[in-house]
Amino acid sequence: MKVLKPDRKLDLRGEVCPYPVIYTLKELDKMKSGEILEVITDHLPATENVPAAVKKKGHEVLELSKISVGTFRILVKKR
Amino acid sequence: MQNTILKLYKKAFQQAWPAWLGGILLGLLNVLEFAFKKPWGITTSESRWTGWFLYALDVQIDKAPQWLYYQQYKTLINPPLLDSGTLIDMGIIAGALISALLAYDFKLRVPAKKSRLAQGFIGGVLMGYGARLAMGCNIGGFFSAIPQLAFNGWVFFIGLLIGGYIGAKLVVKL
Amino acid sequence: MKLKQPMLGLIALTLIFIIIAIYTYVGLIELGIFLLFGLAYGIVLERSRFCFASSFRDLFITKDARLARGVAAGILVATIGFSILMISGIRSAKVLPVGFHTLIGGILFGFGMVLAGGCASGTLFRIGEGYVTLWFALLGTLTGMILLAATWPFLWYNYIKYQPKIWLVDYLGWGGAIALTISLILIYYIIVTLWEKR
Repeated sequence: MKVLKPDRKLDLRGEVCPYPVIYTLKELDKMKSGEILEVITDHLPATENVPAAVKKKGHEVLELSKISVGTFRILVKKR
Repeated sequence: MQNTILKLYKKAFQQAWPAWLGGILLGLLNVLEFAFKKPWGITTSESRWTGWFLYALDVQIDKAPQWLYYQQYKTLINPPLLDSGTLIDMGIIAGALISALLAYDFKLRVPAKKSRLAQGFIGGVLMGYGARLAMGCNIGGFFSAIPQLAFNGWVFFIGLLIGGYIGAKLVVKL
Repeated sequence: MKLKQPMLGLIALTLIFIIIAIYTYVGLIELGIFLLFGLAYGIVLERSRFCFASSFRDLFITKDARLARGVAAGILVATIGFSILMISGIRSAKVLPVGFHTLIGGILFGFGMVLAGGCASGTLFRIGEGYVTLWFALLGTLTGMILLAATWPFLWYNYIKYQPKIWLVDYLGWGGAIALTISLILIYYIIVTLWEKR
C-alpha cells in the first residue's frame, strides 16, 4: 500500500454537524487541484456526510479509516 | 454458535446502519410500543423532570395555579423510577452508550470552540420551549403524530421545515 | 486493549437486564418493558446515526436527503401499523389541539435542533455517545421547559384551550385519512429525492 502524504490537514475533533462538512468544503476551496486534504474527525455522522458532500462536489475520497476510538481519518483529493 | 455471534456482532457494530434501515426499525418499534401501550414520545417526561426539580425546591407545582402545566401533565402522579417515559428516555441514553461502546466509538467529545456549548444550550432552550408549546417534539409531535392521522403532526412538520431552513442559513455562519 | 470498550458495553448491557429483572421481580414488568423499548430505540438511533436535525438541515446545506428519506420511511411504516391498531379498535389516537402554537412551536424546535446539533431523540443518544455539547443542549431543553411552564397559564387560557383537535379520520373517514397521509409522505419522499439530484 502506498502511503499518501496530505498537503493540508484539518483537525475537526469535537466539532459536530454541520461543521465537519462545512470546514472540509471551505478548506478544499482554498486548495489547488490534485492536492490532498486530511480530515480528522470524531463526529460519527461525518464518516458518511463528509465523503458524500465532497463526492457531490466532484472531489475524490481516497481513504476513510478508523484511527482510534471513535476517531476517523478521511483523505480527499481536490478535483 | 460462537462464530455466528461474532459474525453478527461484526456485522452490526463494525459500521453504521443505513438511514433507511434505522427509519424502518424505529417505525416498527413505535408500532410495537403503541400496540403495547402508547406511541413513542420523549419530551413529556423530560418536562416532568423539571417539575420534580421545582417541587424539590419547594415550589408548589401541585397546587399553585401559575404551575397549571405540571398539573395538566400529572407530574407528581408517579415517582421518577415509576414514570414510563423517563425509563424510555434513560433507556435511549443507555442503549446509545452500550451501542457506542460495542462499536468502539465511545469518546468524550469536547468542542475546541467553547461557543459551541453556548450554541447547544440556546438551541436546547428553543427546543424545550417549542416542544412543549406545540405539546410534542420531533417524536411525539411528529414521528408519532402523523401516523395517528392527527393534523397537528403536519402543522408541526411545516414548522420544522421553516425552522430547519432558518437554522441552516444561520449555523453555516457561526 | 481493543476489547476494553466492547467489554464495558457488555457489562452495561448486563446491568440494564438486571434492572429489567428487578422491575419484573417486584411486579412491574410493564416498566421493565418500557426500559427495554428505550434500550432498543437507543441502539437503533446510535447505529443508524438517526438524526432528525440532519434530516431537515442537510436538505438546505448539502442537499443530502438520506435521512429525510429515512424519516419518511419510518413514518410510513408507523402509519400502516398505527392504522391497523386504530381500525381494529385495539388503540385510539391521541390528537393534540392544533393552531398557531403548533406552528410556532415547530419553528422554534426546528431552529433550535439545528442550532444545537440534535433534536429531542438526537440529544439523548448523542449524550450516550459522549458529546459534551449535547449535555448543554439537554440542560437548555429543561430550562426552556421551565420557561414554557411559567408562561403556560397565559398561553393556555388565552389561546391553546380554544384550539380544535383535528383528527383526519373525522373529516375523511379511515380510507381518506390513511390515503392522504400516505400520499403526502410519498410526495415528501419524492420531492426530497428530486431535490437531492438537482
